Amino acid sequence: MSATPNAIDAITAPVSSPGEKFFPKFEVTPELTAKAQELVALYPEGKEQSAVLPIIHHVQEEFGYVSPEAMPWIAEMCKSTPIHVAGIVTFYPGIHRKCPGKFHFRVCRTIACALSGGEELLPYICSKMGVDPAEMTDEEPMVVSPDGLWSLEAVECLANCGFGPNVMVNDTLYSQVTRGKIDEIMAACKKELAAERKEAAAAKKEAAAARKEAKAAAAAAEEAPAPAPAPEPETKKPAAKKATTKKAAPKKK
Amino acid sequence: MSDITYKPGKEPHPRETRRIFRNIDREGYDPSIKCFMKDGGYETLKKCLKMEPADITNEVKKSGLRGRGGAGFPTGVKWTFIPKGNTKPVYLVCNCDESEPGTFKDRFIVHQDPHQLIEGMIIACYAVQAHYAVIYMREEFPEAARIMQNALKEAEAKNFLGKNIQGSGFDLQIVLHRGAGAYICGEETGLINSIEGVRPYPRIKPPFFPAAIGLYGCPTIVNNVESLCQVRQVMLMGGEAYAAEGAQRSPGTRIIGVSGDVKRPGVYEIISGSITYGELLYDICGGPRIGRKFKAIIPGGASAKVMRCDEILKDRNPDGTVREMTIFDVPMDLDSIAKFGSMSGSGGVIVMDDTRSMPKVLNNLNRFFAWESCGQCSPCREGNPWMYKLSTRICEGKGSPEDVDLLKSVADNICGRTVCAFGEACSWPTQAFTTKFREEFLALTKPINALKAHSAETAEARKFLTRED
Amino acid sequence: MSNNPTILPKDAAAAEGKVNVQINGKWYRFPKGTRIADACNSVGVHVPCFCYHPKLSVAGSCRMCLVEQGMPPRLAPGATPTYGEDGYLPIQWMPRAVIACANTVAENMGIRTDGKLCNEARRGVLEFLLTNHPLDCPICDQAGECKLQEYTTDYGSGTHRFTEDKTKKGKNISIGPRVNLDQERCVLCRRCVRFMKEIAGEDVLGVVGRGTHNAIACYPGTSLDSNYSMNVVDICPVGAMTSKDFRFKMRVWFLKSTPTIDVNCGTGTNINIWTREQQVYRITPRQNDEVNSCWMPDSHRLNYKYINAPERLTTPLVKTDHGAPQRPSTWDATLNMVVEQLHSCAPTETAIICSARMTNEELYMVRALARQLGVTKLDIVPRKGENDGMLVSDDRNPNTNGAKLILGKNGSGLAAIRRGIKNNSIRFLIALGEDVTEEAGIEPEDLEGLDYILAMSHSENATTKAADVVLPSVTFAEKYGTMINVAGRIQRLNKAIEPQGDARPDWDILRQLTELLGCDCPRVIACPSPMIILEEMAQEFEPMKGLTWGNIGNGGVVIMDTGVTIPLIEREKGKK
Repeated sequence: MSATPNAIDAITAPVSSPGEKFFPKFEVTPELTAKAQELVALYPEGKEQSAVLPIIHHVQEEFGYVSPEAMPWIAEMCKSTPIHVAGIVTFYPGIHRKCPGKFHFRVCRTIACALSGGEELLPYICSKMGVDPAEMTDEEPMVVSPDGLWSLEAVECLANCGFGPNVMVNDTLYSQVTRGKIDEIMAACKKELAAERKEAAAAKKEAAAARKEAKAAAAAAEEAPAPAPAPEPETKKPAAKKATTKKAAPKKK
Repeated sequence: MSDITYKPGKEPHPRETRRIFRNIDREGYDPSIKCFMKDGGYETLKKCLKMEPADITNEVKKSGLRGRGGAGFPTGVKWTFIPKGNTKPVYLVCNCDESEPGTFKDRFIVHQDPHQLIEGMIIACYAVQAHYAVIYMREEFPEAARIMQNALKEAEAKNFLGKNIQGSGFDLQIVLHRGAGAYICGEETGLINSIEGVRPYPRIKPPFFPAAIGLYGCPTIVNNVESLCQVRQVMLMGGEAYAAEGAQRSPGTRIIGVSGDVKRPGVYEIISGSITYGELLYDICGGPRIGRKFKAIIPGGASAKVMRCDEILKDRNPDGTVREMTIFDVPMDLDSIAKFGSMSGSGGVIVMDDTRSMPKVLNNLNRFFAWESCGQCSPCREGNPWMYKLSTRICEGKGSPEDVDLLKSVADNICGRTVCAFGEACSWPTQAFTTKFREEFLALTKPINALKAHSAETAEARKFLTRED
Repeated sequence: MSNNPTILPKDAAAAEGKVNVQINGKWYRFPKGTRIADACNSVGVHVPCFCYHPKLSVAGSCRMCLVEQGMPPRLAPGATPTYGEDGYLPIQWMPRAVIACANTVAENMGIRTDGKLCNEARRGVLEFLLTNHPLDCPICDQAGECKLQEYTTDYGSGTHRFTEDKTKKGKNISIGPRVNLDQERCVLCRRCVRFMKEIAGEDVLGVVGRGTHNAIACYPGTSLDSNYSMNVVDICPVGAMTSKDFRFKMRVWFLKSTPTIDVNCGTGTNINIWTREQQVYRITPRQNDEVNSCWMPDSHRLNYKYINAPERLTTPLVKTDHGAPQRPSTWDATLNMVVEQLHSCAPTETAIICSARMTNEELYMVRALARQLGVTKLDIVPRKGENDGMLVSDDRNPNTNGAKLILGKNGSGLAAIRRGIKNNSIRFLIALGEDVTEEAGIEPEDLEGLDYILAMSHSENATTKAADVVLPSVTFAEKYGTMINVAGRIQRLNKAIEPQGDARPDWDILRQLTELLGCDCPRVIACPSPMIILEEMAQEFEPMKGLTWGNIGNGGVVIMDTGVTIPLIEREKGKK
């Protein structure tokens, strides 16, 4: 429809990612606003702008990334302007403007990890995820797998230099990672996903049963209220929010 | 110490002295306040709250404690820089951005012993009379953020935080603020801007010395995690006792993180100056991997100047005679290594053995600095990508011998001309690597490359300068 | 001399609240708190700056103003300072250069801008700024007045060592209705960001990206549309922000600049008019800290197109038969005809509508004409608008205070004239520099009912079309004169271009007409220039006492207390 956006319009040009299907779409709810207000209240009066990073973190946890629609809302919440929020969002590498996959891998490539083989892991993980390593550039170091399940980002120092290579998957740090360990981690992720899906399916079934029951009851009472809608499947549960309980503490040899 | 047992395989090395790391990997220890208090936690604070704030500052000054973030500025002296007769609120910020590559000490404290930091912070806040403090934690520590958040709640529940702490009349709120993955937020004024919610550009000094004009324009003390834990240690031991131990000009213990090509990399707490680099790397870390030799050491985080292991260093004895030594004979305190042109910085020791290509190591560092430059001031913004492009080209075999000199010259043009210390941090590696391992760089270059256009674009640009007919 | 215990320089300076500073080997005295950059520039030692602007907060980020600095060595405890023969302490130079924009002078400080340290720093910074610069000077509007170009010639190395790929950014982006942005040319001094936030109060610009990808931007969907947006074009040291109006119109080195004042409102903003071959190409603000600081509104800046427009009147026009069309004529014939016609107009049935857009000198001549004709129905056309709280005054006439002083009129008599025209008690109208069908509120049908209309105007309008005689005059860019702004400051207008065609300066037309009508007062007819008229007025009007063209200067002189202030200037003073 339109040509490539100019450098300014590109700030809010949507970047589609297969990872989006695992996260809800950004939406301002009373809960979200309340949370933002709570974060703003942590800072001295008149210093609402300080809450910009905390709010961004919260948005990212809930929705996976900071979408173009979120920026003006964030600005409003912390009494800033959209251009300043854009300045923050485009500055920090820890803030995503593109939705990561359900399982986001961050591979450290800085000196100590590089010495222990961190960079060599990247092509392997790419092949396992089914993404093209060439897509990872210095400017855009994150790639998302076509199924949206995985994303891979080359990052700088994770501050666990003695125990490289270090890889973070969502919130969990894995140290002294080998190819074999990558296989294990990815298998565990798949298992987690399967369990989640099963749980969701069970919840759905339960809801359906409840609905049926309610219907029957309604039929019996003839004037029962409409049944509550079934909870939505997995998309309700953002991956980042689920803290995997795997041991994070680094090991010493 | 005999009553403490550590988890199997995580026992401290006999040459270590565990003070700050006392509870790290300790058997049966968890980050809860119960565990911490059972072990005498918050007792030092109770003692401090009965003292005059100025006396605490004096005690810390007396101890000779120097900051552990990298610059090594005396902590107590820093506190006294708050302007006399100040009427604005005073803030204290704990720098837990731990972003210098090679440094990974603070992560253990915030993951495993958060209350130690909180106690140190409360003492420091009381000393400078700050009623609002911020822990600035790097985004890459999500687990630690949860642990710390929980610890703060526990401390508040026990009235170590909040209003009228332990009946002393002292109020304090500590807020956890998470970064978002930017190295520059480790620079104290960049960090302050990050908390203020603006782009974390470092501020110009003068006039923006944090102790005078810091967070929200108010006097602000920024201390590293380890420094604040050491403050607690100082108050536990007494300033004089603390000063008596270790190197005269940098007393106390130091936490050294060793990474790279050694048999046993890891974090070790030692008495400052009590051992040499050789003892650290051979005795504690087990020496090089089998069949290898140490080649180079970066002694204090990625930005410290690299040292050659076979370089003969000359030092002057007190009687004026010259003493020859290598890096392995240099004691591990804050100042000794500075005599030989490098720095001990944040205590991150990165070791490389003879299998490593130095240009490639430098290229990795250059990418890091090019990626992390905030872009506020011209030399750093433009110089770092240039250095990265140059070292990449040299590594790819597309460089000419002149490019090595150019690389060094670009670094020289950045160093000392920037807003913040990043300018030095990014140029020191290039200056040191290209000087000390010049032959390795030259070996990758070919004179003919000087005549080649280095990219399609520059080839195109050069067409205008040559006659085609 | 050293034996003579005279007062030390430091004490002498302290007595005046000043400090002694050595710049490139010479000692000077500056007020405490002066920035090093300002101190150096004030004594002719140029310090190059990109990001520093005296009216904006200090960023200190371009690193172009690095200078070598030294202070006396710190004394050992108990030691006494040893002063040299000249009374100063020795200076110990620091190994690192410091920025001249953020640091202030101190007693016995030494500054060197001509040493190796400083030269190398400047060369280094310029080389860095040029690495990712597109070097498109041949098509850049800023070329010729570009700081990057100038400093590169002055301090750069002349060759470049950068052969890698450049960082790509946005080019030729419309960032507002009047401004274009080229992110690649930008040196990221953030003057524009600071201006919009601190002066214009519309925080629409910011920096996005990081490191080498840093770029100035506004948020998509918003734009740099403030009425002060074009000031960012002025303060942009390079060609990153360019004016859409001026884009590709003319190379700046062909342009001549003339200092004068803006006539769009009572503020009397100080400006430069940039012209070439009798054509005006642009207007830029000229610094005057008492009037407009360094800024001006876009609405005023762009209101210059009429000067070279086809609607300009370039020859006298006359209409001999009532129903006939106007025809061009010569000045002599026209003026003689007008004199004859005016002689037959009854003074009681004649009205003069003149303009507070006229200079004091013109108004003086209007008064002479009215006196000669014996006309008492005389007034100006008031123009009121909204004060924007910045620089645009609610008085949209530039010289209301002049009209009050010289004619004793403020527009209150206009309604009576309007009524007189309506009820036919006025049958003859002299419209000087005003289209009376506009703000004066006279309906075009009423004009048709008049017996005689004499119009003097620089451009064609409804009044000139209805007039029996049209005398072509000039715009503010084509004449000399003075005006008194809302704050009571008298300021000079300078002639930037010659009158278009046969048009003549208003004062000259009026003077000649008055003379032809029979005036023999030497104080009127012997005035060969506005400067002489000014001297005449200086003898008559108390506030103008002692004024001459020369002593008004380029900054103007306050000659009356009006009680009116300029909001932006008050804010600026409040900040100090």
